[in-house]
Amino acid sequence: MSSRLSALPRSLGRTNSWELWITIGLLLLLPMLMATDYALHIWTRMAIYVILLTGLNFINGMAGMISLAQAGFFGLGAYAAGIAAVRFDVPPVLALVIAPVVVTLAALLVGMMSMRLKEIYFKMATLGAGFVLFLLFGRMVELTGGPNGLVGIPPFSLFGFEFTEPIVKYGFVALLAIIGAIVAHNLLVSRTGRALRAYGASEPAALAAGASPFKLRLLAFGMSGFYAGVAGALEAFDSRFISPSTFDFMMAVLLVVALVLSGAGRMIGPILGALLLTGIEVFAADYADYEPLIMGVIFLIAIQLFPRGLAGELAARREDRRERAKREAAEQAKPDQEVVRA
Amino acid sequence: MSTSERQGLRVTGVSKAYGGLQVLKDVTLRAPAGSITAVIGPNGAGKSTLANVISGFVTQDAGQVFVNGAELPAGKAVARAGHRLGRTFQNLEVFTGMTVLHNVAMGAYSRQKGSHLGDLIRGPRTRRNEREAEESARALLRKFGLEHRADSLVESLPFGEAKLVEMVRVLAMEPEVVVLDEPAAGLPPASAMPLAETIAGMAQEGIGVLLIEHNMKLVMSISEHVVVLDQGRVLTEGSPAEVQKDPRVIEAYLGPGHAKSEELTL
Amino acid sequence: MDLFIQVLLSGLSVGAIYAIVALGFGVIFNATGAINFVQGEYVMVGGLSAAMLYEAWDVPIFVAILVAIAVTTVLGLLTEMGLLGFGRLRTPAAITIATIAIAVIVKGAAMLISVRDTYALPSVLGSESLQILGASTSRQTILNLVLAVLVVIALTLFFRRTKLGTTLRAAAGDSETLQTFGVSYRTTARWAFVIAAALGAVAGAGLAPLTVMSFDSGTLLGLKGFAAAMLGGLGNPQGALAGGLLLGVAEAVVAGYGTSAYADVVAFVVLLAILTFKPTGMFGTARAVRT
Repeated sequence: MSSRLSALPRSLGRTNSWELWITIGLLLLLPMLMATDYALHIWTRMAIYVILLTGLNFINGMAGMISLAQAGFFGLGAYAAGIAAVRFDVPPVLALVIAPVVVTLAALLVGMMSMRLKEIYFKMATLGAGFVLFLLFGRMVELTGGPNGLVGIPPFSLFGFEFTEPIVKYGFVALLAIIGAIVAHNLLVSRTGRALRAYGASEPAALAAGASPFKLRLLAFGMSGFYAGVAGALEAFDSRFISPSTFDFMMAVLLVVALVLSGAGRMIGPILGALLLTGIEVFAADYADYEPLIMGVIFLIAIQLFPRGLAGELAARREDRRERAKREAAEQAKPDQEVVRA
Repeated sequence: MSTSERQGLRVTGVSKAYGGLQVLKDVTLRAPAGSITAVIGPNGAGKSTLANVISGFVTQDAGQVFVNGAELPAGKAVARAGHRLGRTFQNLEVFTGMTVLHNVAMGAYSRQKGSHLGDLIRGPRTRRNEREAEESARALLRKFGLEHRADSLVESLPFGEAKLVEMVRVLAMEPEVVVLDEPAAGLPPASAMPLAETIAGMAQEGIGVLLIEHNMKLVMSISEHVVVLDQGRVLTEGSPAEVQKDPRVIEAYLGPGHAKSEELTL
Repeated sequence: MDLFIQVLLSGLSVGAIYAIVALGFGVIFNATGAINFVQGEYVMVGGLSAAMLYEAWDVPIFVAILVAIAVTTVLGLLTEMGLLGFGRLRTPAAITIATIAIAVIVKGAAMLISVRDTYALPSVLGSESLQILGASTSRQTILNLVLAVLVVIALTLFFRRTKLGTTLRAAAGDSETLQTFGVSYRTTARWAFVIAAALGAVAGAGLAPLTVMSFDSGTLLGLKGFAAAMLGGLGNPQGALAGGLLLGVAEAVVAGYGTSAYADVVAFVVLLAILTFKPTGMFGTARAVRT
């Protein structure tokens, strides 16, 4: 029995420091490979996605719940920062602080309302939350500029120094992405991160060990919101223009797919997912009309290739193993019961 | 904590009904520190519900549960670890996808202080906690001969060892009281002896053990006190020898008519 | 008072459509235990293809609607094939994720075919308005209400009186239950998707005269239909009707007395509120929604 079961992948249960080092290494090395202004622009977008996906990883990866709200949170961060800077002349530094706070609060609220729901309802609730934000971006015209977008966002600046040079922009975003990855890694290997996973593996045992699911999942939601807020603000200061369509249903799905395909719950997931997303963006610039169709087909094939679905796959495998263990237990239990009845 | 303060587990007047079905009726029992108290009874006697009330997974309709004199909040499983009450489950409940070491460390974490947010920056306290949890987990694994398994995923272990990991995880909580829900379920008869030793070891360390068990052999060989549940009430209690001879117990287990002719054999 | 009647009528008119969408969610949920994210896209495909056929290709309106329903029903069959044809997806959670992928595909294909244009469809009853209690409304309002009521009656009878209906209602994606009925999982699922797609197409055809249709209408309509379904209790036909009408009226009230810009938000407030506070729906059909 043990020989068969131990053939399963073992890496997931371990502390993967090397995955953190790869993330940091890629963020430092990529601009050295190609440092033209255009390339740096692409790398900057990728680093923003790293932050966004690292945030999503707290919910999708560690807590094991598929949230479709992250695109909406991303947009909320972008609009919070953009509106603060454009409408209220808030200095960019302050806007970069306001955005994550706003999004964290929103994420905590959505988390409190949705996290006790069963999986399929949770997806709908988070999709609804993300979509209502998307709608509001288009409808609150006086604040957001409506469907035409919010224009005139200033570049990020610190003590009067404007971050307009591509390399400076990239350096700043990459720095935040690295800090974000380190913090996420800290959480992943801490008792908090383990408790989050433990809760997904065995609810009763985690409860009996004093791990509060409510607190832990709320923390995961709050963290994902905070990261989305930072990523959104950086997006606003990077693009200097934001419009609702960036944060639509398609984006919500893309984020989940990118993360799940590249390893939800692992430290390496966000950077690989960000590379995938950026790749799609570069590719889609030429084939924009075909993007949803192609992505949908890839997504469907991926789900069909991994029996029982992507993110559910690991959980389902775990469930299988547990079921198998229980079956074996039941078989072994038979002689025992005879002892009792004797 | 000195032994005089260690009173173990006390359950007073616990009742629970599901709809019209009275599953537990005014159950009062004690599991003193440093000894093994067994709860036996036929299927449907309410043993599992009792374990769930004590460990906070089921909210009782009436009655209280105390550990070392402190009342435990009804129906709050997550608060039990703080009162140093640990439990195992009838069906194997381990943290799949995690190593044996981290499974056991989960028990150790439960007695540590420190905020979740502190873990984000991995401050000195988090590092200290982490080190302490892993060291104590490793020490326990060594004690139970599982050291070589420390870095294996828990699902790669044979069933018996996984069961033991579950028990070691509870011990890592440094519990005052442990509720064992059918620990022998699913184990081959050959494993009964090591299991009995493990449980006896808990009591020797001063833990109040409440053993809920089907396997009469195990119960009779290690318990100091046996409580018999039948149809949700305490039918009788006493030493294993007393309980074994009690005609009411035999009747509850084997049905009426057997009481005169038989003694509950093992 | 006139305004109130006006608001009520326009709310019922759209609400009837939400009810039909909600019924589609219920049919799939009862048969597979999954939530079908393609449901909104069926409405979009039904409405958009009917309107495109009529507007761009000058197809007579009745023919356009019938063809649209046929096209969408085929799409329902294709959905089932895409989901279950590989024989690997079985759990409701996995099927639900796969429906998201198919929704993206349908939306992407519709975008290519419609070239992002919007289309409108006139009412089959003509454009004259109808005077009711001093308020004027489109004849489509009455048609939609009649349609919704008929669909609910038909589905209720179907679920109660026919063997297939009983199977669909009782199965809830449990392949063992299905085997005791002597029906395969695939057959049940195929029928469920055909019915759900046809319902979506009918909803789309009923909605197109009230609004314009474009390739990206589906997500919003799907979410609203789902909100209506949850409001009435997922899988309960009469509940779907009540939920749909209630949601439609609530939206119309916000649009009529507040601003129309925020009317769409109502559905999400309702959805999140009902999931949070009363996940079994208004009528409290017992069903485990929480873990």
